[in-house]
Amino acid sequence: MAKKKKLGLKERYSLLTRGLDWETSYQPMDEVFPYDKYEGIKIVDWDAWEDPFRLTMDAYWKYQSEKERKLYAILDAFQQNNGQLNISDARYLSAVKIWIQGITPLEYAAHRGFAHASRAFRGAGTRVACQMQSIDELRHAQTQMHAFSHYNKFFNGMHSFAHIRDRAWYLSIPKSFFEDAMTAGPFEFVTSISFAFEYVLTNLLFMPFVSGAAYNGDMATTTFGFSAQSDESRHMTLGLEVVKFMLQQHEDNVPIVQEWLDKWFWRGYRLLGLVGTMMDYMLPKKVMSWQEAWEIYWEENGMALFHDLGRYGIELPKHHEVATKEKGRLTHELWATLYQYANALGLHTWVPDDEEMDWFSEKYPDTFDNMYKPRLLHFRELEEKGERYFNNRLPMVCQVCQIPVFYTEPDDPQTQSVRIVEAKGTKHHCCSDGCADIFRREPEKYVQALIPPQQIYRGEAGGATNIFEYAEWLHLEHDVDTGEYRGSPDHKNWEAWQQQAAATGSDEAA
Amino acid sequence: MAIKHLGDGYDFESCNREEAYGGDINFYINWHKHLMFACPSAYRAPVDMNFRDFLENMLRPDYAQHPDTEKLDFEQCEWKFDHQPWQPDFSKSIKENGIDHMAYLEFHSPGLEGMHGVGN
Repeated sequence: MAKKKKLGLKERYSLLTRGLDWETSYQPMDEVFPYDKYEGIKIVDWDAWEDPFRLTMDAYWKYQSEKERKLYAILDAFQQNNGQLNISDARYLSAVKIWIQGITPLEYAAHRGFAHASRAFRGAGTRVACQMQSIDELRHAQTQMHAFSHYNKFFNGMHSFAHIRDRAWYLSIPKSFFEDAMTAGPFEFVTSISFAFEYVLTNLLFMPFVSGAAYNGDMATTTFGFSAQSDESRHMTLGLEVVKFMLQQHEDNVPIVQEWLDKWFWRGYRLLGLVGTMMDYMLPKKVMSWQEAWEIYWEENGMALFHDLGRYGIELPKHHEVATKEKGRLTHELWATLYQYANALGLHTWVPDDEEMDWFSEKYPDTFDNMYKPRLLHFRELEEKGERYFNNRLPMVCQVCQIPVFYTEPDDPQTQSVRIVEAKGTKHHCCSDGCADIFRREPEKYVQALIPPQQIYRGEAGGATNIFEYAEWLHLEHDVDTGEYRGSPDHKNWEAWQQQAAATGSDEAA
Repeated sequence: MAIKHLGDGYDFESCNREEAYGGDINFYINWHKHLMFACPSAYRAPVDMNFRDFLENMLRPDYAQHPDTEKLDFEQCEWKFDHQPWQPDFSKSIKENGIDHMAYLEFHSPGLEGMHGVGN
């Protein structure tokens, strides 16, 4: 009996994905796929979609389970060897807290969003790509929770990450970003997350976290990062493919895609301010500055990518020059904000030490010494007098990006940037022309935003009337989970563990 | 520009509408060139409250830790309302001054330009 020839990878992929698709006849295709036309994107030939993943489900499970076995072996070793004692300093945990509170829920939101997209497109290739990414994102959420769960046994602030995700003012920034994307149509969703976020801006998100973790001795996060890397490169490929596909299919798609790129570049940039601040201020051992990262990953790589898309008629995203003007001040302004509202943060803030200030002076020669160092020294002086500065009055928050309005005017770093936009008979406020443009394009959407200080003032935050009652509603314990790092339980425990390790010899302690 | 949507209508009230504040209003105040206070502050206050009382009893304590605050005389400041020059009557109420829901008030204090020569 002749042995049957094994199918090649390409053939197998084709049979197990597009080969399983069919044109519906009992119901019109437009009713089976009601979401993929209303955004105005015209697709002439769905078969022209080039699959970025070329993976069948069985191959996917095989590759991922191998990766996961390795990941969990390392996480086990990390836990058994008390890997938490090998990090650079307990201040580093603020970066981990931002990740578990702010980024991990985004992975889960991405899972949900791609699951929806994987049902929404009538092209089978596009659906399969979204399905694969949906499963990746769920795995990323789970593996991150596992990786960080060990830190939760030793440090404060991480215990209620899922609870505060829906409540905390600073987590409404990432949450609203994804909810804006998920409540858009499927093409805008994939453009926003796969292209603008994962393709254009991903290096500014992933690189700082994972290299930052490696520099600061956090093996759990570093290992997760490596494990996710091959997935991320597939996600980037999907991002580029979806944008090229729309642009190639019909010229009417170009202005729609341009509007989405304008919007999602700006929203992505605003969200990344948190990551930049983590890089500059929360990493005791620093990798590179936000300004340097912006220059390499946006001004060089990102802009080159947009120039490539120029042949389709795509232009650089609106307000990109404002983002570039802000590169020397963004993280300093945001850290000063986090520093003063720390009574409602599930992480600690502090004034950087002298060595770190020297690093800032070197990395930000035009801005740090004249504008931001004096402010930090003033905060330090107050702290030394026993008057550590907290701002306990609720701030104005941007109706679109939901970030407190701390930004300064693009050409005047001494004046806060406030834009007033009116809709439904009510005035709303934005932090920038970028966010105000987004609001004016779809005011019906953004008037629905729940702005945390406004929720509090309306009595919708568990009845809290001030920042301390609000923190309780978040399940954050005052001065344990929140507030100043120096003198916090995290700080005291860390010092005690370091002394113990020094006393017993590092081999035994490790 | 209107949102693209499926179905018959896409129409929602603003969550921030005045009726949701129990008879009070929300408004914002910012002290120009005092960037130690990172953001404009949000206040919920009764509309019948005297404006001077509001400034002295609610606003001033929030600025207690700035060295300029003890020298600050609100009535000598230059005021703006929604970015336009504005002269409040300090003896009158919030409502009588025309301060409406979601108003954005700024004041600049001549002679008190913040710390370090850069408006901190």
